[in-house]
Amino acid sequence: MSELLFSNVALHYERPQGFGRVRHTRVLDHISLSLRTGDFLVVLGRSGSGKTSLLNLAAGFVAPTSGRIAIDGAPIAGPSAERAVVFQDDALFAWLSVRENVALPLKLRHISAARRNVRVEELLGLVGLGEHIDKSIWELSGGQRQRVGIARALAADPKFLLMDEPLGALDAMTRERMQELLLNVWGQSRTGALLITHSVEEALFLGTRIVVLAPGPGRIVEERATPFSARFLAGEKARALKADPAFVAMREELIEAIGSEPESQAA
Amino acid sequence: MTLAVDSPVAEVRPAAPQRRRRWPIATIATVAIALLLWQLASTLAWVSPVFLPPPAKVLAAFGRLATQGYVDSTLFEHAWASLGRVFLALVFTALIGIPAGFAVGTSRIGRGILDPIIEFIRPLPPLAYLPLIIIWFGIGEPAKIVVIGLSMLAPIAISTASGIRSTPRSHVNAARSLGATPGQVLTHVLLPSALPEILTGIRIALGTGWSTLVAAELVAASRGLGFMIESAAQFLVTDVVLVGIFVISALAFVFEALLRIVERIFLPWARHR
Repeated sequence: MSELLFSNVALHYERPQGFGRVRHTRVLDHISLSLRTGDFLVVLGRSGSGKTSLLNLAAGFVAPTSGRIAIDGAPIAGPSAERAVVFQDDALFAWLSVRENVALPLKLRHISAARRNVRVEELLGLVGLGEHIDKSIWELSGGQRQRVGIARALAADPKFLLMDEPLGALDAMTRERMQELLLNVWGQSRTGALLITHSVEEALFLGTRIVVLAPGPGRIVEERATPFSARFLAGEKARALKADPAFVAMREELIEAIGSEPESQAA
Repeated sequence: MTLAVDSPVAEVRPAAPQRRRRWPIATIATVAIALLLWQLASTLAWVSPVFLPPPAKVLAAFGRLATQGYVDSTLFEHAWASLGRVFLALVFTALIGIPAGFAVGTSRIGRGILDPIIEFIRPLPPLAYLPLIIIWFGIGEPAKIVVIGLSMLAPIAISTASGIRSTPRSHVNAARSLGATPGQVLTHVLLPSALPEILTGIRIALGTGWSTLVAAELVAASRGLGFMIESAAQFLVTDVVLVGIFVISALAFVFEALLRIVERIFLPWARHR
């Protein structure tokens, strides 16, 4: 079991305003949280609450202004394959086929072509894209592209899977199916998952824990455990879970917590 | 275990509509009208045949140049000499310009050092630095290749740098989070991502290279299309001048078409970014 730990982390930006003036922006303050392998932590919040900045810190794309981010006690120093990222814009490489995109993390580690092929076929089978293995990226739909992105991230064999609103651009039907796929994939891989979203329903369905961020500067205002992903993996139907009175009640409480606005407006 | 989530409605992307191939009527009409006006100008003596020989005479000159040649070389030999110069200049310039563009696009220090040099060379007309190149390199082949190459340097370096800079940040971050080293980010992400713009830079560079050819072949050349045009112009052999111009234009057109084919075959994804 590994643990990704944020200890009193702050992130401030300095943006030049011209004529030597600098504008200081406090993006995140006093962030302390823990993500263990086997957890599915969802960070929920309105636009501008610093959700993506928090993921960028976890990924090592930016360094904290103060505080400490560590994995099993060792401070993180930049991006690493142990924290693979799935991006909102999928960030797939158009010059590579589906197979080559998923094989890239293995190729970077100089794993033989034969072993790469076995692993790629396994991962694309896991996300239901076995038949599209030799297609070009541009031949895929938005949902299929995100599935390739998830398979590619898993190919890096990460301890933690960091996802920046990967379902944000999908239509409602595809999004629901992708949520179920995401839970099934996570259930099998048992990585530590960190998902950024502004959808309360998505957060409740996917997370084992939810952290709510409030803006100005981004700070944690609520943290709670949720049982619905475990119940889904135990065999309950997604639609039945989302209609469950406990789910609906918790959804209303979270909407209240993130700013008393319906999620569509909060987006 | 397979977890299929295909939604037949949302997941199926309709095939792109097939574009109907039409004859470029406007292009053909433009060429036909230009030829007609040219013939009329000769027939009706709007312009003296010394300055503008009729199309038939130019066509005859083409046949004569192809078989008998002009100034000790056939048209093919002149064209081959020019092609060799432009191609060699392109190879050398690409070898310098693409790494220079990478340095400008990836590093502040690289940009600080190379940007002023590229921006200094970029607006200079080749005839301005031709005398200096002759002083430095003499009147042989190297001077001609350097003059053509210098005119090609800025488009290639600037396009490469632009291709690097336009690589989405998420692509670089994705590679880093998948375990890529800085060198692997360069070879697996930045280089392929910049290829379409590098190819565009090469196409622009070839255009400037062909336009610099005549200037380069002004100097002690004994063969080449620029030399042929220049020496024919001195004796008012206008039909040979026109043949030279048309051949340069045709060669440039063929190069452009070849590069488009290369792009279509090797970079099909560039149209879908």
